[in-house]
Amino acid sequence: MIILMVILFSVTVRAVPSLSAAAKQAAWICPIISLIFTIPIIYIFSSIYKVYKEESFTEVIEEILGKITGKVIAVLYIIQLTLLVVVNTRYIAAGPLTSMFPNAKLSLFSFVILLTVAITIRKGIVVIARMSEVINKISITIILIIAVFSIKNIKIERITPISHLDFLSLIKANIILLGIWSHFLYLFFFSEYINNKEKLKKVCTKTMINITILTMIAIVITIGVLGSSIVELSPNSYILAVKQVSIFGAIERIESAIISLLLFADYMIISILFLTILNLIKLLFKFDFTKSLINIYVLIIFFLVQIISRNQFEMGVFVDKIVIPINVFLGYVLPIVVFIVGKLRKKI
Amino acid sequence: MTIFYFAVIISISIYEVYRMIKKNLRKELGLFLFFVLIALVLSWSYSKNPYGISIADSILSAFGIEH
Repeated sequence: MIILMVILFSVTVRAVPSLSAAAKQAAWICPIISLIFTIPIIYIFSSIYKVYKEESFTEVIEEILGKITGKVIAVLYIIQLTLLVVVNTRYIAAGPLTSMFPNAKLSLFSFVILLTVAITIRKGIVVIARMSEVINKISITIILIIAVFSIKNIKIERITPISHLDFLSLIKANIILLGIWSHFLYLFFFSEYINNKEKLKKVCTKTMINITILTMIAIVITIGVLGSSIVELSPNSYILAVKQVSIFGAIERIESAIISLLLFADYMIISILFLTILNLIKLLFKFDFTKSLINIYVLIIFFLVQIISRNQFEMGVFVDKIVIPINVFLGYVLPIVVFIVGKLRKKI
Repeated sequence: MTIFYFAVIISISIYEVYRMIKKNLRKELGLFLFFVLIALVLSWSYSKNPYGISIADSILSAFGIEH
């Protein structure tokens, strides 16, 4: 769950402009609504893992929906996860291009990111989890310090008024956040590595509440300092908002701490998604060893990153209209379907 | 650039195939060769038309979504 907290930070910060465009000044309420939708999913997984203690989620799907349906769904997850790796790598590689090195090539940055991922994921999920434990404490401390010192820059009129008229726009913005929080499901493809599954409900609920609070803080700071109309037009709005912060009027430029955290979180999300793909392939084809596939898969991802879209605008529409809805379906709707079918067939 | 990409893919393939045969990973070899084929096709498409291809454009157009 610590892995989830680390990886969601970067993706959420990147999504704040979309949330602001959809829900304007009310966007900071979205995490609470998303939490209401996520809690039932946690209960579903808790029920599933009371019965299937040692299996991963793909094996559970095969058991409940049948072998062929299970394998087809596993292939769908592999395709969607590959798309997520490509999209995330493209966003990360395009960041320095748009801000600092406009004359550089996208292929150079994507090559560096993917090479780092290819070298480190050979160590496995346990090493990544241990790294997350260390980074999580540091990142939460930095986020909270920035939040405290941003309070004086936040203008209440920028995050209010909230009324019943914002309801529809909140639902629209909520879909974006649910599409991001669907990464929660992907960690259950490693459930054969998760111990103490009897504490799943408590740990997951606590994690999602923490994520809700941190997401609300990030959105309140961004919209409260800059205003929703600036935020929806600016791709790096959270960093812009943090730039306004100064600690006791003496320490400034602390956005560099956030940029370092975001870089690490970006690397983590690509690594975790990659490991999830390899684990899915291993379970789908009953392989013993998947490390040999890392290099060639990284090459495939590299070429896909170059040809996924021509520019950031096209990328943005593609993510909003295609990737996010598929994420919501695979992350929220499908587990509910699996649970209902499992209950009907008396397998859960 | 096509020849460079092909050279990289083939060198990685030779190295990995050698390792897989040594470890007797026959099942993994089949999927690996499939991925090599995909990588070769993608590298050829990308090097022939680096700025023309867009997967996002194709999918959005297929669904009739304005972009």
